[in-house]
Amino acid sequence: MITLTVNGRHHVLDVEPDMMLAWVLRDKLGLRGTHVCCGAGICGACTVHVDGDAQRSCSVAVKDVEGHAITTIEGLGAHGLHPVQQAWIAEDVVQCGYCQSGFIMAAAAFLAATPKPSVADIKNSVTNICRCGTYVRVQKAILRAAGEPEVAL
Amino acid sequence: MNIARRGFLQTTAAALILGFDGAGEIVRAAYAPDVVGPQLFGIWLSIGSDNVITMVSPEVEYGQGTITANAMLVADELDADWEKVAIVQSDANPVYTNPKSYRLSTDGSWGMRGRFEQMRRIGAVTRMLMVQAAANDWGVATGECSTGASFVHHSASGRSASYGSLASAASKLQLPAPGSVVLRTPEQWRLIGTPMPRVDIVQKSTGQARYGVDVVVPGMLSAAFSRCPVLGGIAKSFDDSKVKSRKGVRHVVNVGYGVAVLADDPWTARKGAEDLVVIWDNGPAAKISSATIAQDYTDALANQPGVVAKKLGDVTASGATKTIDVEYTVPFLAHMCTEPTNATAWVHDGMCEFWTATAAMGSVVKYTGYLLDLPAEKIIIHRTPFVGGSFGLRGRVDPELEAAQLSSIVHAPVQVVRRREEDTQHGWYRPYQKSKITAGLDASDTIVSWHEKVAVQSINGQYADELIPFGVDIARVNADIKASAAFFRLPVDFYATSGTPFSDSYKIPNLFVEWVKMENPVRPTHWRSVGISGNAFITEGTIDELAELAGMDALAFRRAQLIKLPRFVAVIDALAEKAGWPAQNAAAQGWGMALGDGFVSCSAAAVKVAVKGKTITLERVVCVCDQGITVNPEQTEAQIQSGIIDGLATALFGEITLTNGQIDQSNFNDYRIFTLAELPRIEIVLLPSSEPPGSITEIITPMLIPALANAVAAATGQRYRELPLSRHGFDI
Repeated sequence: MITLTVNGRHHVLDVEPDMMLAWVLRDKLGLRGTHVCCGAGICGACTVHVDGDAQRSCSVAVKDVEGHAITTIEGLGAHGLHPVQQAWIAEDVVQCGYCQSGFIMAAAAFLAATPKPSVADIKNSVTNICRCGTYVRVQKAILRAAGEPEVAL
Repeated sequence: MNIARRGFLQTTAAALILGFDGAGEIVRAAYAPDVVGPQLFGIWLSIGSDNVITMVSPEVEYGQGTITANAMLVADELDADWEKVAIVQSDANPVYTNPKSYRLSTDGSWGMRGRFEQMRRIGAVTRMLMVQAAANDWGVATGECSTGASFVHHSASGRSASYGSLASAASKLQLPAPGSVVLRTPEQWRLIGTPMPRVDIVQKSTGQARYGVDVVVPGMLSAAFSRCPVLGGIAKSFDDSKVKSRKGVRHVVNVGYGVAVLADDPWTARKGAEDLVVIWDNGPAAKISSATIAQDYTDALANQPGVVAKKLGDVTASGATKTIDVEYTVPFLAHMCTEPTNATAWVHDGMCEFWTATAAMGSVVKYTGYLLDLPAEKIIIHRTPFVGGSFGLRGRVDPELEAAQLSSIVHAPVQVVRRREEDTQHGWYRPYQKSKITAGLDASDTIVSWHEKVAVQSINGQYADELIPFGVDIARVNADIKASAAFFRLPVDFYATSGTPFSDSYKIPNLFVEWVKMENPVRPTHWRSVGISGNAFITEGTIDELAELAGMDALAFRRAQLIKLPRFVAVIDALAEKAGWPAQNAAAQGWGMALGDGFVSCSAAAVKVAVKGKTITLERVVCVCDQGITVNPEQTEAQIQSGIIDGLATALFGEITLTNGQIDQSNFNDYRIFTLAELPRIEIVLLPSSEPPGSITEIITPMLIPALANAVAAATGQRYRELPLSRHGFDI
């Protein structure tokens, strides 16, 4: 049995300890906002927070996050939309949208650690892949969420 | 505003455009609409008593913004309250066939091209019915009524009624005579041409958007495959002793093209497939590698006669005084959609139900009919709201066929979800191509001859290749397809030479383009702009070389060739102005450009690079587009940004290669896509136009590929005629 805390709720689950977190979230807890894309920890589509840090849940075994606080896209805006989500909406960022939950989670963790980032900080630190190429608006949304919407790009 | 759940769309043979959900009951008006042409009838929208208007988009939303644009077209003519508009995906009823492409499919940028008039007419007719219903109720003339934000008003008496309150009465009215439907003029548009946020923005920013991988059907089994590493290989035998002992594994099935593990959940299926030990019969593809394919194509260009694709004048008597001979090569490309391809199917009670976000409903129905010997009316498609990218890939329906086949074997609903590596190594690819060109200038440096021989696979001739692994009689299928439309009977695959010079762009008086049809085990399909994706690089690289031959600036040379074509001249001039293209020494400063047309749009791009050793710095990226009327500038901008990034990444890194029949690339680590780190500053100009809408998503990418390659040639003095640039050691 694995005990997990996800979005503030406790779950006791009969799953293999080596099962990767993304599949547990999606198929055991029904949290389908987290998407698996590369399945190898490269692209970041499955990013969730573990104790506030961005982690690629396709490559984190569930046994390794027992006792840690996990937050998914569904729990990000616990009290309404998170500022990163508000910025995402204001900049109309998404296209196909499949990678965007992970992108938003990565951006939220990044901004929590780096509240006033430079453009170079963003480029060096947020490494998610978006095949649609929404990066121009992603960058704008991150700056907007940081309260720096006028930074020249 | 939101994406409504399915539910009200119960189609019938004759058509309706109105319904209302008053007391949870659906009421419809029969309608034989001139709005969609005599052969097409269908349900297009429903108006609820809460005044929410739910519209139907036949086009699938894979990021391109089409459902927002479709809703805008209807809402504009209907005077709908945009805040109370919802949109759903249509089912596979043939009434939703695109009126211009004649396909039940989202492809070829046919969304706005096909729906621009149709959707507006649906809105206009609905508005007329609303006004008529109100006028009847109030005993006034329709001409005294006005509409706005989903209400009808009679200002003389101060009366107003919501569309929702009028829907029931309106649904019983005679429809307006075809000639009485007058569409608004551009000056009267309220939404068309106005930047509108995507209708799916909130769902996709909150994790609420649902895709094919999110489908759950009660009793569903998850399927994962072990596939032969060599293309086309089949499973001879397998050992599943390690698999069967895994809790939750229900079936292990050898279907030839792979061995499937079916389990209670996706993880168990996935791990089960990893644990399978399969003995493969590699088949003939094991002898084939990228090097053998390259040699085959070179030999074909040298020895095999082509079929005539385009012929004007006489290239052997053109009067050219200077000529160049060049050979260009473009690689296979993968689509790398973020959502792994997937489908859910359930074969039961003499029917097959699908849950999928396919872009090609028509193919799903047709090919499933061949696979399971079912009539079209027994094949039901429930479309999931969204799909995580396509770029041409989701027009192929093998995941749907695999799910249907497995379901028919295990008698349960089955969901197939591929691993990333399967998608990269067992998918469909933009075909590899070699082209050999002899082109010449006359004494005044005008291009007077162009002889091009193209060696590439046919996409058009392999439309139903999905069925081959299933053992379906493909010859019979192809005969049926050929009988279905003249398009499939053409001697030359349209895609093979689209993007080569044509009489309506570079007006080359002596033009001969011939095509040698190639065959190899790497399955070819559409990839963002199809033939143009490779041919624009080949054409525009050669044009650059002709400019060098003439001793002219790349932009001035092109402008001189295209001087009689105002649309191209406008695009070139806008590009020169935005880029500040230098009158002197542009090449020495690292500027490269390309232009072209396709899908009714016209575009040009300029890229300025600095190259140190093998490291390319993207200093400027400028793109100009004339797409005709822009329905939603907000999404057109997004698509231009998207297309630019795709084009630059493709020119630099895009490549699928083969060793002993096995595709070398597997995931994003070895098939590179840009990240934020590579994002350059992007400058865009969208030219105003009153012409009907053309593509945006398919015209930008093919311009950026040659623009970057030409910039690298300018900066380094070295012309690279084979993509990607990483093959020559370049990085960014």
